[in-house]
Amino acid sequence: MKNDVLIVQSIAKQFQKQRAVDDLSFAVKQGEIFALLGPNGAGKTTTIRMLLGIIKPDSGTVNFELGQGGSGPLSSAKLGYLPEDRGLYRDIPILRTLTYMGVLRGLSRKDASARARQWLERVDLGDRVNDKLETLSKGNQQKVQFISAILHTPEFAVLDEPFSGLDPINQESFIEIIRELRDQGMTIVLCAHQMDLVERLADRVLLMNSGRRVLYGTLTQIRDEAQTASKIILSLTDNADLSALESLGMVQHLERRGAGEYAFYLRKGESLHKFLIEVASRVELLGVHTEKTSLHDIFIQAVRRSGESITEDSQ
Amino acid sequence: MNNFRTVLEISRWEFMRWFKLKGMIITFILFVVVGFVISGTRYFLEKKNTTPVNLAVINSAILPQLDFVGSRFVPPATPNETSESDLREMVGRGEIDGLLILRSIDEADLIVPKSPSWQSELEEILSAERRRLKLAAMDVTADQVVDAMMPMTIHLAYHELSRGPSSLAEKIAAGLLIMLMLMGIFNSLACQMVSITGEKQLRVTEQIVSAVTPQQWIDGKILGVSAYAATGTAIVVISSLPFMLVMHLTGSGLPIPIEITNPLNIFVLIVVTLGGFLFWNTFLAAIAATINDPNTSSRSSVLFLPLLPSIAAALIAFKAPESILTRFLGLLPITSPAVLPVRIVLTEVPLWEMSLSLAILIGSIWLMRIVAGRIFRIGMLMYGKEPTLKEMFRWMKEA
Repeated sequence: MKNDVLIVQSIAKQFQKQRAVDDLSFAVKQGEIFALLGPNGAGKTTTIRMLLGIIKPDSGTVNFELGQGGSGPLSSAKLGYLPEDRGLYRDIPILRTLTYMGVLRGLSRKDASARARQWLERVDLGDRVNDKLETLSKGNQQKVQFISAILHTPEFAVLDEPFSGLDPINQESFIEIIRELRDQGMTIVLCAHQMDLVERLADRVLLMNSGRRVLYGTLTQIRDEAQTASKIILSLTDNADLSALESLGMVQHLERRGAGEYAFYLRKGESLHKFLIEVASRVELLGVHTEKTSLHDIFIQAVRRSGESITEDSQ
Repeated sequence: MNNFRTVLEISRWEFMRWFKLKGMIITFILFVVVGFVISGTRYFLEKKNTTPVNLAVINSAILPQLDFVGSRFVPPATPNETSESDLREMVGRGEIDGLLILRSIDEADLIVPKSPSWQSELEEILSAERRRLKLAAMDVTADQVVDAMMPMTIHLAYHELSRGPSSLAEKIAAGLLIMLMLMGIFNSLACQMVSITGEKQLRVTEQIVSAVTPQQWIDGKILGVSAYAATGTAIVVISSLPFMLVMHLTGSGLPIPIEITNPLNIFVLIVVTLGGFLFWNTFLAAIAATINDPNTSSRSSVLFLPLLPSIAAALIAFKAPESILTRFLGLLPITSPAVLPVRIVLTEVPLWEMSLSLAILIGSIWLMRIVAGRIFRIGMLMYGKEPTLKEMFRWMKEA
């Protein structure tokens, strides 16, 4: 059983009239990838800032247990942070910037420089160490920013939207790196909106909405906790009467997927057998298969159920 | 990493961000060239100078045929029996330009109130007479010729009973010091402004404040940018030294006021200059942290207004260096970096006044640093909305 390396108890933060985080508790275990999810404005960034000591909670406690001599705030050398709202010095060669970042995290200048070179080689930027950041593509800038967060091999890293701006090839590369870091013992808190990637990486998940905890646990646990509907994909003829199916009480909602395919979400506890009998009696079925409920579905449904709409506004 | 090393690393980073070796070398060369052009012009003008110099001579019998005819040296209108001490007092009062006391054929003392621009002319005349005497007194050998060709050694001694009106040299020196101070301050403020608002705009802040405390960050910034300003100022001063020295040796440069050759005064001038850089950089770092976009913020345009009292105070000090108002302004940390250098050059500043001024300035920098750290901590993470003055005062109060 892994130890908890971060214990957050009942933290809250109020900004003027807005309650950004409200009585939030959770724990992060050593060497796991912990996904912190939520719609825009859910309070993720505020939570992260409180974890890192950038802002103080109005109430509650944040304690790290990483051998820093008792519980409490974490030293800079043990911490890595890739903020969502990020940038680096655009007019300075990337090796110099990375060395500086490493030195601020406790590395010697020589060590920081050597590690920066190694990492730049790893992400195919080895021949651009003396280039200025502004000369790199957005994806390559993202790589440099990622390196700046983990250059010093922290014990605990917070990666906020590490995949933004990356093409699928580089996303895969980053997934591999993050897994490697986890396997080397690094504890990682991951925030991302690419649910499919999170699903592939995360050991445990915390879903927030309106500053509160909505779902928390392993993916299996949250699937159970979410009480998500069964998902059945039906292939129907073009002239099928959908209204007859939508009116079925056991259907929570229906999604049209194109090419005659429809995804039906059944209410919790409804029988698949009964549903298929009902459908077959109303329309002609061309094909049937089921799909495991994705994290994306869980996210959408849980947020909707928590009574809050997903705001697309930036935080 | 301990606090000191962190601050040092940040200050090193800030310094290296702005310090461009190539630019500094160009500045150095430019100043040397400009300096030589100015001093050359002055040398030429000095040669044409015919302003009479009232020079009293004691023991003139040592050089019996000393002849000032054709030069601009004229004996003062004083009785022959005037004593050496009376003549020295006259020098101090500025009634005569100098007193030459011949000690031997090889040595003489020259008593002057300030470094004389006519010294080389006098040396030429004295050396010529010495050569003539030497050659006349001995059978000339090669060594004797060499010895005879040696210039006469003059030991320069300054004598002042009390401060008279400030000389042109002193005023120019004071003006140059103020110019250097303001140049350094404006230069560093521009860097500080670009550095901080740039970091906010580039969104570097969050990553940095997760690694270091805001107080460490602002301390490093203030030290680094101030060190950059000090280096720039030092390069200007150093690049001016060669030609100043050459011109001084040839007696054609501007006389160097005695006050800025005094080690204590040099120390105070250096400390007050560094203090000025630190004080204003601390102030500006706090304000810059509250600016989102320097191109659109109304705060950018008024940012340099607090420097105006400094400039006004320097002008007041220039005009009335010993007035009560100037002395008071010399103690206020907001004006002392501009006023104290002027006072040191133009008048005699008591040690207690210099000490008190420096103590107040250093104490103010320390307090300001804490207040600035507080504003910086909150301001650097505020995006989109600039804090009001009321909010800033609240943070200061909390600090």
